[in-house]
Amino acid sequence: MEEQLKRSRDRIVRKWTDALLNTYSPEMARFIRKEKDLFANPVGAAVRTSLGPLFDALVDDESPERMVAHLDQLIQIRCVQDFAPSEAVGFLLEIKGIVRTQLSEQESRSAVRFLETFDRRVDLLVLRAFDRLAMYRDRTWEVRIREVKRRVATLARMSRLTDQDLDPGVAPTPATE
Amino acid sequence: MARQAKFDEIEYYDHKALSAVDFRPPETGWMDTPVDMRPGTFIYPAKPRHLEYLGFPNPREWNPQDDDWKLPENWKEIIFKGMRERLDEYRSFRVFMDICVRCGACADKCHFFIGSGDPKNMPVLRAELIRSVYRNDFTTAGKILGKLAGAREVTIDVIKEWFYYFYQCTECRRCSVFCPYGIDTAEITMMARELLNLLGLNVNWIIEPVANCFRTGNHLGIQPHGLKDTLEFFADDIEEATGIKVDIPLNKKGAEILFVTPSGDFLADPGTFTCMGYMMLFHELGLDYTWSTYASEGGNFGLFTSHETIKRLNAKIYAEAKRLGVKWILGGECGHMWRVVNQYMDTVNGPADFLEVPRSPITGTVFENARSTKMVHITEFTADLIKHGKLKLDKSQNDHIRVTFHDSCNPARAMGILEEPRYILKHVCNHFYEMPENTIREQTFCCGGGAGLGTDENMEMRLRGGLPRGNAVQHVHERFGVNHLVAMCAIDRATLSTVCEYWAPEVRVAGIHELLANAMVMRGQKKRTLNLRLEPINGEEGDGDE
Ligand code: SF4
Ligand code: SF4
Repeated sequence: MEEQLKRSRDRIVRKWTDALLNTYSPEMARFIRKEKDLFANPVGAAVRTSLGPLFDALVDDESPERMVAHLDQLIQIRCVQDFAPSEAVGFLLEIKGIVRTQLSEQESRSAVRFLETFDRRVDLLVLRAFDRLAMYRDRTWEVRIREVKRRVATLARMSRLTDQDLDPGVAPTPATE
Repeated sequence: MARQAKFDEIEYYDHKALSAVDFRPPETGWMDTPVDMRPGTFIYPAKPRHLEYLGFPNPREWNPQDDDWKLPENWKEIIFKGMRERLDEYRSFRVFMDICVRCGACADKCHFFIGSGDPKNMPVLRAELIRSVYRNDFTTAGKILGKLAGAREVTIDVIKEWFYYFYQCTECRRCSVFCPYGIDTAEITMMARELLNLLGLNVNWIIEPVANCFRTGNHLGIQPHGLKDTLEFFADDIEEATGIKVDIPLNKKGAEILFVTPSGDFLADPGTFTCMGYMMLFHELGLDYTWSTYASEGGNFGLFTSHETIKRLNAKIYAEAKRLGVKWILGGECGHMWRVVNQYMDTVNGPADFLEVPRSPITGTVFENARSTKMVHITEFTADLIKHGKLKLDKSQNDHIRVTFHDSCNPARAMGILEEPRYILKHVCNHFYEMPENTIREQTFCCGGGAGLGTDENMEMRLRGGLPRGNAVQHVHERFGVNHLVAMCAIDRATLSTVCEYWAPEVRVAGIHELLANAMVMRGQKKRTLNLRLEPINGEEGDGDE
């Protein structure tokens, strides 16, 4: 079964990408597809480099940590885009349906076991992705607080309000890193 | 055909549905998509007391998330009258309304579109928000053909859309670089904001600084004694780092040069360290200069408000130059200040005939480019010093850092100051790396927080807008180990610090004159072991050699 999915990899990844792009405006979806330059189009670059390796990782049964690493940048981006948390990671679930469309009725019946395991892997992936999302959410609050502190740095130092270094340089990496 | 169930609906998990996936994007016309005021994306409205202080219309408490924005009854009339006046007064406004051919060259060049994917952040569509109203009411085709000609009536929802999207444009002008007709969406945003101001639709992050600047001389409302204390406090830190007590000429009549810098450098890290850098440089040169407690702001948030406000705030600098009897004005590391100086100062308040054409007292160089405004950018001044060998610099003092340079939108695109900052940086540090070509110089990506967007309640939006810049920074971090991003703009130093913390967390932000001062060998200094942040030089180990 893994072999069969690997053979349809390109088609599956393409459909999965469609599902992902469908969460964006049509204009953005077109832009993501068209502009290949990493610096002109960082979202496109993250899309292009994540779902393929992620699919391989799913089929090869890599650990959830390794799976979610392929997604990190995309999640970091989607965390600050206009999505509810469920929408930000929800597109991942679409792979369940996409994989099924690759199998004939008969194949699906004989592949029940495989599909059950596959679905569980996807569920695990989604949970991990949600952890990452929450981590980046935390980071948005953290950087906001730090900015507000930096804004009044002189006052804080002059009034000896704080001894704390207001800009230690390295940003927080809260929660599960 | 049955509707495709979504993954959070139970029908989705029905086997048949699972196999019938169809991902065609829904197409909704932009005119029919209302704005969604979600916290994190918009900026809080101006407090009534600041509007009252400035004599601006319609001061009141209101909330963008409410249905009722408490607009004046005759708001439509006000908008039409305001548009007509501006179309008559500013030829560029009318031209920009007329000549766009919707070629789309600008569409994907805005950092807010690139980061958010919201089509109304495409510059062409941002402009269309107001152009559609122009067509409807100021052109014959629009009056006859209506929607077919891309025209629409102005409604409360349209006004809400303006407020949302024109305070989501940082007036960075990146889009204009790519427009074959030179249409400057930033100018359109400025016009739209002027119109919004007529209805009392403005944001506190802009209006409070404007009111403060009007009252006390700077955006932050620092009073004269506060400024004096601040500079003295900086002088103490400088003494700790160098052993030298720098002097602080304040409101000194008859000084040769008036120095003006954004007030952010007084209060906010890391701009504070750049401010110390200026103080050290001037002390070392023995420059006959003065700070002013009245013209204590280089920035001009009038640029984000209205032409009239630009004029009112800018006038203070000239008035103070006249009162103190200086010969010319030197300006610090600020971004939009230079757009005002370069594009507006002369027409709104100039020419400053009572001042002299700036001439460096150290090198004798005459700054011809400042012949009219009499105001010189500090990187021009400092680069000239270095070129003439007037500064003793020990680059190895900065050996522990790897630097990249962010071209701030206004100095880069509105002034063309591209070489001077790089020239200085290459003389004060050994490890300098450029970010990718399509993200620097004229094509530089905005920090996402300029033009009055640099507050924190809209953080999500700012981080979206900061993605292209942050992405390029992270790239040079991974590739060359870059750990410092240098910017010559006070807004950048504040906002990019945050952008980096989110997108490139190993990189911190500094100003040019901070690095210069750290490398500068001052006469009579003690052995330098601390930088201006009072951290050990060359890293934790305190190892002077690479
Ligand atoms: S001026 Fe800058 S922020 Fe405004 S539309 Fe153009 S690119 Fe976007
Ligand atoms: S590049 Fe210029 S002419 Fe083309 S769509 Fe943009 S504003 Fe209009």
